[in-house]
Amino acid sequence: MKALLVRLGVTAAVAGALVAALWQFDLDFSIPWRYRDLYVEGLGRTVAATGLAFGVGMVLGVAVALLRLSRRLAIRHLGDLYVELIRGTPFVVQVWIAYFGVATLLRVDNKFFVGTLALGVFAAAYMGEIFRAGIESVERGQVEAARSLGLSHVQTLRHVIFPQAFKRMIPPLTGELIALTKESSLLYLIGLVEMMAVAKQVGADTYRNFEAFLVVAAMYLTLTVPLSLFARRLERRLKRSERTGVHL
Amino acid sequence: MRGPILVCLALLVGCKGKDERSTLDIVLERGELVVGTEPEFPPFESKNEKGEFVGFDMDMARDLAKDLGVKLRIEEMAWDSLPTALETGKIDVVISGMTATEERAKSRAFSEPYFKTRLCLLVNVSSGIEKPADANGKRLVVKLGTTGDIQSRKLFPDAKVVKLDAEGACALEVATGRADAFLYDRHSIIRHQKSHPDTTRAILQPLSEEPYAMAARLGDTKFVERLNRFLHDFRADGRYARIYEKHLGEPPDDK
Repeated sequence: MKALLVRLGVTAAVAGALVAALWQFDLDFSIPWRYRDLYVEGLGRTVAATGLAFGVGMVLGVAVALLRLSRRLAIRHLGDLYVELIRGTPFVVQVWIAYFGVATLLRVDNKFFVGTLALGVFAAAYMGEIFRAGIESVERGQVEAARSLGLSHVQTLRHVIFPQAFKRMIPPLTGELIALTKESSLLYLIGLVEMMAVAKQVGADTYRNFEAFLVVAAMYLTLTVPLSLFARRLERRLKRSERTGVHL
Repeated sequence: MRGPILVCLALLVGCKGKDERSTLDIVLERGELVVGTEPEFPPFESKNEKGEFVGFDMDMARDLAKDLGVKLRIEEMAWDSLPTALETGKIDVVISGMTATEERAKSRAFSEPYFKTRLCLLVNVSSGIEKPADANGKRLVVKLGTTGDIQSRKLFPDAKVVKLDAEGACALEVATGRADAFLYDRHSIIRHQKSHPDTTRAILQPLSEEPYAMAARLGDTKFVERLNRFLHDFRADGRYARIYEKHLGEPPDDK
């Protein structure tokens, strides 16, 4: 209870300081309010693109992690190449090549599909590393102990490695989802009008960029803060189950 | 025996998977004209509260589609993507307040100009800039990839030029005093000056002439000729003057 009060107090102090600073600028939020329908539409696109990309990233990410954990060098190297290629180049370049290059050759014109897929491919490089690190973080000795107790390879994975690895993956996965939410704004390059693009357009139409951007910043926060809170709660619950030995 | 195989190979190499017909034929067959624009440039193109595309260019696009007897679809995207979208056939024509320059004409075909504006300066009140020449040696901002960006080197060789991504950001740099002057199109400078009346001044002596034109795929003479015929009719029957006055608040000044 006391912890909650401390948190609320600090939040209020920071928010107050921010509002006081912004007060100097003579802002008029009735201007972006008139464009609320566009903002809501943009919000929907941001959520849809990010959510789907995260899903694609999960599936591809697991595949990448498995590639990189393989015993065969050739396969392991394939996973390494994927991660280096995707993580080492800007997403702007990737989405450009995906839409104007690959999609043109394949005659695919749906930019939501192409953009979301490209974002998922991008996310998979980071998420694959999170999965791999999570799995490798479980000590070798535990695997050996499990195997000598007669658990099969799959049973070891399922009952020993995965429950522990999963807990450790939650914070970085949440971070990745939050980063992806903001990264999705780059999809405007191929004409996907997500909420950052809306803010730019509203700023241009009204010549009031400050208000237009502050509104979208607040919208990003309303997406990301609950995510962080949810992740923190999930993590805490899993830690408790570890101590009490209760399986979820 | 080798002959036919070589011919087939040559055909395969020659085929780039792109429609090589004139855009005009493609548009008429499809029954739809796809216009590409970045709606962040009032009064030429922007989006209003209802999400409708408004402005001079957008009204002209509607008339163009009507003249061609097809439906209109407006594809919005970031400025940097427009040329590539045109090249790859994602859009048929760019109508986005685009100035026809020699450099740009190497990669796309421009229609005749439909609007002439001039590059002017938005200056900070304490910058000490009274006339355009004073801006040389000062801190200048331009929007990346615009004609202001392209011309800044030539017009102000000694200025320290900073390139920003958004028009609004450029105006704010001047309003807050981090930059002395913003080099951009006349009508936008006037509007930005009005939204920062205490901190900025507009210097409206023209620095160079900027002819806006529609952009089509390079070498598509047939389509460009059709665009030019539209522009001719559009001016002759008074639609041009009406749209001009509606969006710029003054009658057309070019003869």
